[in-house]
Amino acid sequence: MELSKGKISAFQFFTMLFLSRTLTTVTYLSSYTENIRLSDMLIQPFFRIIIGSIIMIPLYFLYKRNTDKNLLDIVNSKSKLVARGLSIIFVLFFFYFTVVTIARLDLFAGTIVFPETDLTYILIFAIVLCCYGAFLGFEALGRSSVISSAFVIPALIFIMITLVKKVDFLNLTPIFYNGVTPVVKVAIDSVGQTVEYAIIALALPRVTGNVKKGFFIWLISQTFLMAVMFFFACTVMGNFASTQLFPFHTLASLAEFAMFSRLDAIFTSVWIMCAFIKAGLLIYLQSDILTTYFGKFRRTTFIFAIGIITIIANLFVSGQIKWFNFIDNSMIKIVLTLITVVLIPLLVLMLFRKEKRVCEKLE
Amino acid sequence: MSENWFQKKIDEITVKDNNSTEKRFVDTDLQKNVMYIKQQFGDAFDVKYRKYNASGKEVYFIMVDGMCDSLLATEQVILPIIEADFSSESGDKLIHSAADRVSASIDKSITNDIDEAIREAIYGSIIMLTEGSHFVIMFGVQGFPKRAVLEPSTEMQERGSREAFVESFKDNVTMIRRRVRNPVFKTQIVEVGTTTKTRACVCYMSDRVDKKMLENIVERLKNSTLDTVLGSGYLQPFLDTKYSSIFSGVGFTERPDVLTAKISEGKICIIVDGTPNALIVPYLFVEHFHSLDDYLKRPYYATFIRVLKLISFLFSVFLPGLYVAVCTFHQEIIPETMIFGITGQESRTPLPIMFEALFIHLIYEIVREGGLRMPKTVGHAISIVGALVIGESAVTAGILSAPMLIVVGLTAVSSFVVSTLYEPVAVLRFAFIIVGGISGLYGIMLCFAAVLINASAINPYGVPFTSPLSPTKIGAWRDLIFRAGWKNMSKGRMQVNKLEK
Repeated sequence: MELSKGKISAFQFFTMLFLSRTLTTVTYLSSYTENIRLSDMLIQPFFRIIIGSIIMIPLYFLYKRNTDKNLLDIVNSKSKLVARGLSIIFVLFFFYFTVVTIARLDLFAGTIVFPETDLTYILIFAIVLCCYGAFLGFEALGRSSVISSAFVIPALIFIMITLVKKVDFLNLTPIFYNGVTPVVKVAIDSVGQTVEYAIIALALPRVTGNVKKGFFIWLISQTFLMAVMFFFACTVMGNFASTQLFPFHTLASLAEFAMFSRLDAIFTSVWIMCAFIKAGLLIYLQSDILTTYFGKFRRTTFIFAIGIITIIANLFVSGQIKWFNFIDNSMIKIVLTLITVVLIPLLVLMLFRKEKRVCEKLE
Repeated sequence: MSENWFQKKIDEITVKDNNSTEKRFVDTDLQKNVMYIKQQFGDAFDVKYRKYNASGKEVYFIMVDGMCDSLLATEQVILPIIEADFSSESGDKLIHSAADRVSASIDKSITNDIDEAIREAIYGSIIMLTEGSHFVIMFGVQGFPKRAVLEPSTEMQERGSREAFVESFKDNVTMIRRRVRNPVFKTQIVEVGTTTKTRACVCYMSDRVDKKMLENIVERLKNSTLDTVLGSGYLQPFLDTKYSSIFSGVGFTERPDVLTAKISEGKICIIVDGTPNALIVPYLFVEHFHSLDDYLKRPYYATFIRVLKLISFLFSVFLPGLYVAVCTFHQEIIPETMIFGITGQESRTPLPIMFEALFIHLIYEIVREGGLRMPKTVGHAISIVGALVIGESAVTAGILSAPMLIVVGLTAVSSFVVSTLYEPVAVLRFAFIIVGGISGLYGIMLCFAAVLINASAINPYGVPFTSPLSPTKIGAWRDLIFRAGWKNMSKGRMQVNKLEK
């Protein structure tokens, strides 16, 4: 019943997660931070590191005991029924994030790239390709992530470099102007948007190499990227940033290089590449969980079914800003993240502890 | 259900191969054997049967005229045998003694399988049968017409050797032997094709080859369900571990020096008789950007050339699609100084940009294919007609725009820089034009991601196609795009199975 098959290196895995999280960063919506000044967003990522590290503690202790099994496998070794129940929670959790990822892409394309075009076929095309990525598997996703990062990271650096001459430090405002609490709240929000913690919880046994080092490099690098992005958004655009639906896209459209202006096309490319990896990975994980715990059908069948359901769900949300706001709710994400990353591992740990005590008593 | 229907339709027009492997042994009755061979060959005019008397014993020599060297057969095989004294020998003993009478420079082999003897005769051996023997002796006196070793036609090098493979696999193996004067170079013959019985020679270096990989490849060749094998390309699908991919994990070369370099990295090459191209397994993506000249020139220049090749590859795949996408959806990217020129030109053409691009690329592929199949002299004429008629006239007539023509020209030239990738590049180019025209950069990026993951999924014999980029093997980067000098590279040779994930 274990999620075994191909393994990838820690470098590939965390590069994949880096791209996945980069998508959340670059598609940051100004509506998330209505009660906070943009300068405070420069500090927020550092709170994220602390919160992110803390919530991973139960998983850390769990994997310290079981290095070759994932969270569901561990539960499965105790109770098959509970494992099946939890697998459904994880599938729904990943499905939710897949829909949100595609919906954001759809919102972006519908409002900025092709405001006057019917996006149905593009939406279906995107989901079909993500399913294809999932079909090719974990190793292929891992490998392509490393190559994608060779495009994505230089592209982001290039955009930042071209923006240097537009930086105006007068746009910075004193930090913690509204106190520390809103900053911490935004940091918690940001952690809630990070589905990658749950991915780690499930996929870690399929990673070889120094995972601990990889995790911290990933945490620091994506925090650094976030801080840099917010720095440029804040210093280049000032308060104008908060009036934009996708501030980082606006930032990229201000970038100029020689006779080329409007470098937002490069930014869009980064976005799409990251979305492909993220959605592909999430669909893959859903299909893998379903194959492992409800293995009546082949993985391809599950991918096909997930693809169809994702298309239906996204077509339902497409163009409906009310529904988009409903599904892209921070609170839902925080609660789901806490359940999958903190609560379930904590309960499993407590179960282990109880078992240990019973054994000791018997002895 | 549809598959069964289709299979039925295939069965209607095909015949299953008779893979009977039952051996027919040599009979002690000479006439029976000769009759069987005659029956097998029928009325073939080129099969010669010669009956001689060697010390009072009846012997038969059978050969296929044109496949063997008649003079060599007469002087080195027939004469020494019929002049020898076999009065005290007969049957099996005579066969074995006959082998000793023939010059050591002639290949000899003895078999009790009469079908094998027939196959050898077809391949230019002269076979000898005698009364009362359970064996046939075969002498290798091949002398069939073959092409001389010429310069490579598709892999030209400035400073490399001027030799290219020919159709005779033995000559090809000799060319490698001359380059590797070490017994670690090994060959293994596998017969492929149930009718053609083509010989595929698996070449490798025994001290560095991955034994599992070797076994796997030999097994795949043996299991290839082919009736006829007329070229190495027939075997490629059986060696590809992921045939559904647009890229292939199997490479090819027509240069013996390149093949030598590949086997020295632990790879396995397959030389197929009758084909001047050898297959290389596994073949990685980055190898398409390498050539032998890179290693014969200064490292900085080799690096420069590789960067050039990479840019050319990207141009040849993406340029037309990007042009279509930018002109259709993202005009804001075009610099102000260029936008008026492009818009002016494009507005005068009757077709939408996507169809214009598809049309001109289709025309280009037709001209290219025409030029390729024609005799050289006519081929040049086609190129001139293509350039003049399609280029000049189409723009003057307002059917095509000049910027589009520049894009096509640049794409066409770029696609020949990395010629080994032409097949996927040509198809991908059309795909990118279509997605660029329908969904702009958005579609192009999605399609690129799909192509990337498609390439990443290839894992020929445990060595990922995208290695050493991903999985990242920093050590191998000394010969990736950047090429280190020989002083550095000579410190340790690269071995392909070290690139495994």
